[in-house]
Amino acid sequence: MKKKIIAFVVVALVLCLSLLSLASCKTLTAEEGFAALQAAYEYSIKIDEAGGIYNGEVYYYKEQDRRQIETVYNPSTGEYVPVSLKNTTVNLHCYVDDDYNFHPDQEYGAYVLEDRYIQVRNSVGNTVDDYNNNVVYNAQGNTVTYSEDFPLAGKNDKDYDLSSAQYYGVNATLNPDKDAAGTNRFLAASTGTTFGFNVTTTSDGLRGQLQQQIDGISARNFAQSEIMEPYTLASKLSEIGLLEEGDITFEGVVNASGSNVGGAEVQMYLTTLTFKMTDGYAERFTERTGLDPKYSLFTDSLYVQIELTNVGENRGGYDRVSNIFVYRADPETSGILAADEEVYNVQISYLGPNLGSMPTGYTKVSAFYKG
Amino acid sequence: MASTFKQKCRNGISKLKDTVSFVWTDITTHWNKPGRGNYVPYKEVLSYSIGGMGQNMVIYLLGFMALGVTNTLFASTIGIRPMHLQTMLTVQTIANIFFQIIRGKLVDNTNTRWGRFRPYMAIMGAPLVILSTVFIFLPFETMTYNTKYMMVFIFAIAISAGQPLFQTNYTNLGSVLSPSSRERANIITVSSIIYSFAPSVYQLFVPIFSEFTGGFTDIRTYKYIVVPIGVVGVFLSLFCFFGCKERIVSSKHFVQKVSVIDGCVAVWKNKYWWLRTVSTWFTFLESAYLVLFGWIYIYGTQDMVTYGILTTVLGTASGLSMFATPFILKALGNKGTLLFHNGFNIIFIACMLATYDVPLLYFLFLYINTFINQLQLVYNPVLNAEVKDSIQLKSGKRVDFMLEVAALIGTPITIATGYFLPFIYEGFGLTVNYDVLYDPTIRNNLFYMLCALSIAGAALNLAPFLLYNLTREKHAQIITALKIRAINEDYRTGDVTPHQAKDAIESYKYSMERKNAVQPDIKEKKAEKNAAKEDYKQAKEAYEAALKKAAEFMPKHEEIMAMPEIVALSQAAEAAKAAVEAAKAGTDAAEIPVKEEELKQAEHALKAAIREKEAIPQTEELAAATAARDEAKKAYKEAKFAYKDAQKLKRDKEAITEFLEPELNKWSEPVHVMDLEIARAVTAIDKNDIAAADLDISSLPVPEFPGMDERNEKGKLTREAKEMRTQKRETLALIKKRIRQFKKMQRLTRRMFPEGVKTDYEADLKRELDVQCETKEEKKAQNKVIKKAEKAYRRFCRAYKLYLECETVITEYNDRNNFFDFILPKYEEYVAQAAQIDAEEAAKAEVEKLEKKREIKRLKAEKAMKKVAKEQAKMDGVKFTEEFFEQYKAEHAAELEEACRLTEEEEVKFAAGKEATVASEAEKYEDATSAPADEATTAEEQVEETKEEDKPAQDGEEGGND
Repeated sequence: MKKKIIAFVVVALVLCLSLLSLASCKTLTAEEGFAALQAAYEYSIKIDEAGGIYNGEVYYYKEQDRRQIETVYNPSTGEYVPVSLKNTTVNLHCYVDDDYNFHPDQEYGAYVLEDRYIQVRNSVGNTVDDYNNNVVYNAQGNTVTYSEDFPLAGKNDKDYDLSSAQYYGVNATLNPDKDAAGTNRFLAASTGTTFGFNVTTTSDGLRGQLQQQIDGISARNFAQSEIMEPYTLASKLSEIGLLEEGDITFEGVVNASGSNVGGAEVQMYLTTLTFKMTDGYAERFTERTGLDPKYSLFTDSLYVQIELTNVGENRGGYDRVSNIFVYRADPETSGILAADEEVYNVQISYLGPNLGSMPTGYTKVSAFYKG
Repeated sequence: MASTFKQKCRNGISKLKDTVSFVWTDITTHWNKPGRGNYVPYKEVLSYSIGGMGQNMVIYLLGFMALGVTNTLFASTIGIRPMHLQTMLTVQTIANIFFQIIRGKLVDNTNTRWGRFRPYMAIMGAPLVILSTVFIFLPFETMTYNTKYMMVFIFAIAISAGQPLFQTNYTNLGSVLSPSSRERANIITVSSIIYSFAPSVYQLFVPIFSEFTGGFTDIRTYKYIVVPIGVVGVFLSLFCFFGCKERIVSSKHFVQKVSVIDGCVAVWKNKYWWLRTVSTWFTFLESAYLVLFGWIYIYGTQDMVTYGILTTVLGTASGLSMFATPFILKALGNKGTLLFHNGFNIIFIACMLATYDVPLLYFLFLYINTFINQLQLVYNPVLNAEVKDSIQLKSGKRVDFMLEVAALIGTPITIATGYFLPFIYEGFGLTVNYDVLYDPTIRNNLFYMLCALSIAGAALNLAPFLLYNLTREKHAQIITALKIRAINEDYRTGDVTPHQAKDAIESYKYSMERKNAVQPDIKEKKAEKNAAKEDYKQAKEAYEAALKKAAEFMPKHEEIMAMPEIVALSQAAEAAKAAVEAAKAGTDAAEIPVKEEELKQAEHALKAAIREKEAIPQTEELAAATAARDEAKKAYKEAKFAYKDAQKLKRDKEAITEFLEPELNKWSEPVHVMDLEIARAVTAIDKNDIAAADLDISSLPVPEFPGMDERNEKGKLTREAKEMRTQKRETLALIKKRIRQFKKMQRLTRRMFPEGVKTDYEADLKRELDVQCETKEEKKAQNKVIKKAEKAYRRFCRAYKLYLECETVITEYNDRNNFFDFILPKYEEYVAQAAQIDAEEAAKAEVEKLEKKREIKRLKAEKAMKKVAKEQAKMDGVKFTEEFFEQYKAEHAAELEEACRLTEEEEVKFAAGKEATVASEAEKYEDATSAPADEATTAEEQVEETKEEDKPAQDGEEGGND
């Protein structure tokens, strides 16, 4: 009996140790870490090229940006204010069969939802105003629909200032055609194309809802157009491609409370790179891109964490960029309560969700201004 | 035959109609007032059931607030990392230990006018749902990860602290609705059928409706579908509060509780408990595959309609399992069922591993696996009870609650192992973004790993049970030993019932029979069985050969059809057929069924004749072969039975040697002899002299341990030698323990009772518990007095713990022969008494049943009569009132009486049963009042007399062993 118990304990221990080894981590050197990052970047953006590995453009990402680098017009004050939070969801999908072959001629769709949340605070830090501004592109089949939802100056839905819509890129006049209604009610002053416009009063005040439908453009072509260019994955990850080995370091990376968080680790299919930018990165960024450093994802960050996921043997064993998190020190905390503030994150899912439904938060324009 | 079947159907339908009508009348009649013998009206049963639906719906919402890496709200929707969820869960597990103590004290001290459990049904539902709703409507889209983390943590912990108060008190309420255990069981059965309707509905429709709100990864599903379910549930759960009443008040009589440490130590010493507990430590691995089903449909096929339907279908697996479990348990026994369950678990998880990319096939294996998994719902309580019995036999303590407390020893292990799966998830890229599961590569790789881990977990889960050898026979002997121990004590207190005595004696006699039976050679029996099997096989073959040979003599079909008698019958059938055609063509429709019947008979006769001719002729050889085969079969069955019985006899003997004999002979074992010695020495000192006593326990004579060094031919210690060494170890450990306890007792008595023990604290407490109070103020004041008496008694028990234990040892020693001296000799008497009680109970039950039937009939008849009376009143032009109806009833009393009459047979039974019940009640009353005081001899007094007789024998035993 005792022998049996001993045998069982030994077997259980061996199994437990095997399981532990399965779950163990491997540390990479700085060079290996940087090389893994670059390789993952190359592999991730290949999906944006026709004839690439996936033979199509299929991905889904959710981005949250709290860096407050964009501004929008506030009709209440007549000023431009920074965007406190921008949530962007992009979904490019098409039919994928059981063998993972892509069929971009079937069910191809492109969605973009940009949800800008603006929070206006006074000098003491209390919120005095907040509102949203949504932009949606929805490309299905041969039609692209553009919708925008924004605050409008005016008293009510009969007495409003249409010209304030120009601050949201809409320069509109009434369609001289007396029979024009619905989507043809207005004309864009710059292009002469028709669009629908609706004004409603909500708890956020007077809102303008604009919708424009453009026929004759396939969803796939739209995904490759200039409008889509800022939203592509290549665009989102471009800064990674510009990085050089001397731009980042895994040493001495501490969080707001002083704990060391730096390193490059591989745990099964997940590689986690936690690094900070070296001195002078902001200048190098400007030199390479010609842009103000505020447009950089990584400048002024406390540290950056990038997760790479290995797709396994089926796809040649390559890693892809999965998630990016950028942290700064939370200015409202200090001392022992000092905390990290996540100012930017993007979460990328390749091959999904392979859905035709709208992403979260989208408010469909339900009615047009009848006039 | 067809007509018999039709007749049976008609009878069945008629019976069904009667039953339905009976039930309907019963329900409507006893809607507001309970029926005879019951305490709870049907309205209240329905309230409890609806409350159960509400409770289910609230728990469904709260289920999404439970911390766990597979929580679709926290993980897939809000995006909390698996490791962070596990960390929160760890904190929650530790916090729950303290919450559990607080909750236990809270409920124990709840004593409102609405009862103990109802108030929690009223006050806990709404806050829990409000908390969940507030959480779900938080603006997660604008929160940083840290903020989301904090919110999840705060809300999840808050809800987990309060949820058990709502969830378990519904079940507790069910146990106090009626003082009748039969009625309680009925209420629980009926209500569980009704309230299970709620989960069937929402589990089917929620996934379907979630298609419109983005599925289980979209917060809108929780906001607009799940939350409303919870809100409706709160309102429904209030039916429990407003519609139910608590009728059982827990006993006020103080029962000395087992201390936590003593109870836990008793549990930790039990090897069976350890085997079961270690097995559960691998559940974390085995359950890894459970998440796959949801993920396949949420992230894979993305088909919520099918998911909803399949979830509902999956729910039926449990129900089917409930039906099958008793048969499986009977065939395989507890351990066999357990091995069957775990073994097939491995097989079906392996099948799931092979089919996870074919959803429906995966579901099929999942369904079968779920069916098998439900077996544990039945055998687990049985195994638990077996473990508790073995602990009770060894330690003398009943440890119901302590099993849960003792299991806390594994908490660090379960906390640590809880991190393993989240670690695996993150290793596959499942960190904050569960949308990676939409990628089939990632998803399938992870699925493969989880299935493989589940198989490993199932195997590890099974492994300890291979060492679990608490067989049915062993458990039976444990029970016999416990019965004898209990009856020894009950005889002293005068609590032995005839059934208890009969049961204990029969168990003992069976054990002795088995012990004294000659053990056949098992190998020999096996050989005999195999030989009989071989003989049977040969006899069968010979029979087949003889049959084949005889078949050669069978006439061909054409020959049979040409036989004159067959030809004649065939012609008759043809003629009957023609007659039917003619009748159909004719004008007299009444002829048709007659002719058809004749045709049927003619065809039947023809078929029977052909069958007879086609039968294989019974040659002599065939007859002999048939007889030989039958005999061989019988011999084989007997040999098989003999072999099984030989094996069982061996197991019985082993079990008797391991459990029963030690119990019967325990006072001759050195450790118990020593224990008795010490007990006598301690109790010889007066309680008030303990502090100053100079008793040296280590100087008491230690018994001898004969045979400690016996070895067998191979030079190894014999079993008896090993046992004796164990005895020695235990004896020495006991001496050390008692020395420690004595010193502690001296210290405590010196400090807590410096002036000695002034009163009998136990008697004082019992007296206060028995005080009856009328008013609320009296009750309040008396509760204070009771609390004070309890506190004093506990103090006394703490200080004099060793003394009380020693008194228990001596009492047990004095009771040791009660069974053999007073119970066993009176077996026939007890059998007769038990039979009489059974007959009386049966007669009483019959009478009650018939009374109920009569009452139902009367109510039906009254209802019908009321209708007629109303008509009469109308005809007479008078207003129909209660007085009118009473008068009408009086006038038609004979009719009413006739309508209430049962059948002749039932009336006779009723009269006989009533007479027997009345006679038995009268006899009981006579026995209770007529026995003269000076002749009454209680069991205690008999025991005292025996003690006096035994005294010289006891003196001879001191300082030695038997």
